[in-house]
Amino acid sequence: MTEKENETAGTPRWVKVFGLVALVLVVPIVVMLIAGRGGHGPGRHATGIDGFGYETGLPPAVTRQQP
Amino acid sequence: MTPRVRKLALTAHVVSSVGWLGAVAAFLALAIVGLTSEDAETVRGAYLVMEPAAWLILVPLAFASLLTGLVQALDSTWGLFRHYWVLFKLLINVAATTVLLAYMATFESMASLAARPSADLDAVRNFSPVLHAALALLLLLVATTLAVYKPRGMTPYGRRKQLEQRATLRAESQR
Repeated sequence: MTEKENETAGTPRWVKVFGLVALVLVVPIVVMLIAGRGGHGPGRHATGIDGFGYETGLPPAVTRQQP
Repeated sequence: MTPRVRKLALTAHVVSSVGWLGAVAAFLALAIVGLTSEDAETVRGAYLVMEPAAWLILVPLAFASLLTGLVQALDSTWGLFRHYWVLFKLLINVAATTVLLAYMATFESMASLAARPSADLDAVRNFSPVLHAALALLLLLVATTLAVYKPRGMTPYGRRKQLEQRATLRAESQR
């Protein structure tokens, strides 16, 4: 086997690191999407009022104050 | 493709990809302004301008980057699935474009809220665009770095294709 063939054989370490990082980042997002209402629609990270298609981060008493 | 057309296609890919990265950086700045500005009109204006700007700049650049990237990969010896760095760039591009398209509804919703004079300014402010723009910027920086450094590493498919090509060349030279 030549030197070049040796370099391309097997999975490089950087690919394994990238794959691991991607897995660590993607899995929580997928879990959140499944656990949540699904989709990536409005207000997934919003802090806005409810009644406007938003998942609000505020308690109901606060959100009902909106006109 | 002739060398001249190939160079033009490469220029289009670099311009659209780096342009997309720059546009996302501008969106991050806009999102930070919307979140932190003390001026009510500036806050509302920031969220109002995001949706049309995204349709006019982000979406076209995302698709241009994806299409020119596909042309680049398929017309060169790099291929689309042969090298890990090309494959990772493709995955990043597809993921970022998909999230962007899904996020257009959020842009629309934020703009509608910002347009309502009765809506409280704290309700108009939204951390979501800061988060999304920062993550998109990170992803596109990774993609750009991969394109510049082109780290070694062939996929199993790429190695198989390479062996097939070598076998074909060997057979032809023995004739």
